Amino acid sequence: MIETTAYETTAVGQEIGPFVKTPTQVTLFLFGVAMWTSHRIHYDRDHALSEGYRDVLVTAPIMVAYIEQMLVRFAGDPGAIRKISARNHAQTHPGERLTARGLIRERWVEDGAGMLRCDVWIEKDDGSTPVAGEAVLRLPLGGRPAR
Amino acid sequence: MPELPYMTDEAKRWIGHETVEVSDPVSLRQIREYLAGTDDWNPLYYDEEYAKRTPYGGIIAPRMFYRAPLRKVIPESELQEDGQYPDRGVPGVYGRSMAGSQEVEVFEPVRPGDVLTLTSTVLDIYEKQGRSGRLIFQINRDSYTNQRGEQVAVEMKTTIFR
Repeated sequence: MIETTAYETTAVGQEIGPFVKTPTQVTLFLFGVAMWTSHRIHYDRDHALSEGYRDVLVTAPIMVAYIEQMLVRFAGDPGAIRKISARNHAQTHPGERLTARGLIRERWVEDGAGMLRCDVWIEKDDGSTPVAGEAVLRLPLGGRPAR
Repeated sequence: MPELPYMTDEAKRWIGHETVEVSDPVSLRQIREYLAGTDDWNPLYYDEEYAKRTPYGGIIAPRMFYRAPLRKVIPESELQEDGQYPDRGVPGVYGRSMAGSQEVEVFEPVRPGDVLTLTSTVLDIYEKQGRSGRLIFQINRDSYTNQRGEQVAVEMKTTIFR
């Protein structure tokens, strides 16, 4: 069964996550199989160096997928996710620990459901945020408490 | 040849241009490959017995999966020197491309067997002076629908050429 977080149990200022992942070179290969990321900066270190990077780059869609996983763990139901925006700010290399975080900014009721607007971002241990944006979640009115 | 990046007058004429691509049917295997790539082992995405008992009535793909079926598989000989697809950007835009930002609205979930259609419209192409020099921005609106004509996702995508 899918247990969805109830809108009533959420609050503005509430934190979502953290959700931690450390993508590796193998992760990049596996993601490349599914997404067909043929761009050499994602697997060819010599090529990445020739473009001025210090190693191959973790693709932004992997980081957005981590934000998605954090939101699904919070909401309970993948269908709760209505909108995700993400802007790429900094480079990420394999082996760097990534922490997905969120913060509820706004709540409102619309068409019989509870809507949340949240800041979402990925943080590295050095404090930089390679990916940051916003998500909109749609939660049922009445349901289980937030985890 | 002018210094990269640059755009010709031709590039601007592509604003408003629309391309349509249709995917192969989504397979359980492709969903599973995506789960491996994102390390996302929610049983709703791979366990039919579990998924059947949920309101979805069967396996669905993760929300952000919709792009994968429309990533084209093309021969190595047709890739650019840096491994990129040959058709990044419209004709008349030159530079090394990178993903800028994305803003996605998601609607119907993708299910095994779905055939997705991507309709991509060029909304704008412009030059901008960045901190590290000139950049070219191409904005596309990518609309994804399934074989029932339902909206799966709408994405505003910025590609940066540097």
